[in-house]
Amino acid sequence: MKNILPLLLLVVVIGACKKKPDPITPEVPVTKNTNGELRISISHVAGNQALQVGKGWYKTENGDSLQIDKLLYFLSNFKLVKADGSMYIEPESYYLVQHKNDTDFTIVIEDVPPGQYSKLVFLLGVDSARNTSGAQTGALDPNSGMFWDWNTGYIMARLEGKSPQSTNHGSVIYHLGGYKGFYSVLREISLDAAMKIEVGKPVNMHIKADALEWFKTPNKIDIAKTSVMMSAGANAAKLADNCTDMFKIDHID
Amino acid sequence: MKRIVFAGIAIGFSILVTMQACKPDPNLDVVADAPLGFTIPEGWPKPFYNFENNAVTEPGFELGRKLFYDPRLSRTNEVSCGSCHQPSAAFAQLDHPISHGVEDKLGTRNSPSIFNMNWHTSFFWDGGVNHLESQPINPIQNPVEMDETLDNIIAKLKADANYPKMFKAAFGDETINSQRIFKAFAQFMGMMVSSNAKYDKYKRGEAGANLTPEEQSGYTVFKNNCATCHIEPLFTDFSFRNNGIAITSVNDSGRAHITLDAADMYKFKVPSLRNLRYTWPYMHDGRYNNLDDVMNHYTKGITQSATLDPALKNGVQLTDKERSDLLAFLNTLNDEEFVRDPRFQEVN
Repeated sequence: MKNILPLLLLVVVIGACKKKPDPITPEVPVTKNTNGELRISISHVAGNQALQVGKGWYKTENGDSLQIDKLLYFLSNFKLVKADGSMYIEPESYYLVQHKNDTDFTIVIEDVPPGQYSKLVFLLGVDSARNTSGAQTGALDPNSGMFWDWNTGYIMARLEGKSPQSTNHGSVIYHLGGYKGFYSVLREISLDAAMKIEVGKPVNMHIKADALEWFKTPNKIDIAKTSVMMSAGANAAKLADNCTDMFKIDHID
Repeated sequence: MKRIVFAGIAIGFSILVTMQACKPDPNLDVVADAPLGFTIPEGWPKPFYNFENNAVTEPGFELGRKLFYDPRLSRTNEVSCGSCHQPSAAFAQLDHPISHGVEDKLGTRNSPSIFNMNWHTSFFWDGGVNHLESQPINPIQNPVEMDETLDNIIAKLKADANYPKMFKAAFGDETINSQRIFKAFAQFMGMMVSSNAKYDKYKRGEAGANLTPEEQSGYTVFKNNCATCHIEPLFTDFSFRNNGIAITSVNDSGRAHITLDAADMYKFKVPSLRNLRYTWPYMHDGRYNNLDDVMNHYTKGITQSATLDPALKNGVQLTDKERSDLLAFLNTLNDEEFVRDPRFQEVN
């Protein structure tokens, strides 16, 4: 100890002047070169057509006519799972998916250790912890209009549009929120997906997300009876059940 | 062990020396690391919020104070948080059953006081908000309060000559976003601790802080009749209860609005009994102007209903002497040092 002390002091003194300390962005170890990447592109459809908000008219399972004006939802907590159950969990994994016509929404999962994976798992919504931990930023910034300020919590998914069957002045408004107990609308979604992650060779996964699934199974929605939904409760939970089969992998390349 | 300690001191000293020698970038002088003293008053429980992930610093606190008194946080640039939460009223609004929002719009509930917020497990009369940092967004966006969007506020603050510097001093760079605004607010409001009333000094055994015989007797009356809900030392248990005040035409469902549970109809958060001298009028809708009215309610004005708190079924029975002693005791809960504390007064 005695012998290395002067050396240690020297290192500290020299080291201190070398580089400007940056208190805001600490150095992150560079691992990207040794890991791979999964790019997920989500394209929204209504049945077998591309979703055109503000334009297309679609028929729901119940036979109601529907035009969709807005479709937004949170996806979070992405995991790539191997056949043996081991997994890569993406840190700080929060995305606010917003539909724009003729545009895919892309999520890039970086830094995935190479290997053969068999499943993609994620949460529809924002986990309960982030609903109870105060001010957030990035995708979770409450300025998105996806946050209830009077009854704290994120609007996990939001679909708005028009329908002649609506009993609310022709409009359809579904805001799915609630993260507590049996009123939770959080749903874990697991998609079978054989993917080989390699360094320097991103895997592209193409997901089709069908907006009409909101109205379909297991709880067929009658727009005349359910035109507006803007609070947590049993009905919101039913709609959330419908949303769980909204995502289908089209292909992986 | 001794050697390791010595090595640590030596290294620390050498760092000090080199920091002086290198003349660090002046831009880095204002790093958010000067802690302001938040201390838990003697004998108090641990707070629910203790500045986790939001270390309170002088620049952060001062930014929170400036934001708190800045009317540009409202759509009309006329209503600040401080408009309805005045220091002299223990951060409630004196003589206003209902406060005025933008364009003199009125809501339905009395502006609550702000102190000892770090011990609160929920916010607002119905407890709908679950975190101190998530609290300010509600009055800011409420159409009858400040009616402003977060994006508009950020644009106004960015265009200001001082705010970007203040954000840098508080958080390390000039970025202005909602998270930083809310963290600064939490630093300012979280530091508002009211623990220097006569009662507190008496409990701490400070010299000259004796209760008079009336106050002492009133303390006993309090313990026997009020302490079920207004638990010491915060004088609330933060629960939601229907205290039997009559339902008005507003028909405010209270806690049930949040939980959608019929069992929570007409329940409101139990308010603290601290600083009552400054916070009148009382109750969630400010219906009572003075403590006599409040006493009359509990002694002979209870309205029976399905969700009435069981403890109040028969009201509270007090003799005239008990009643005046109780008022004397409640008077020992007023914290003049807190309402006059220069750290919390208006700036701008």
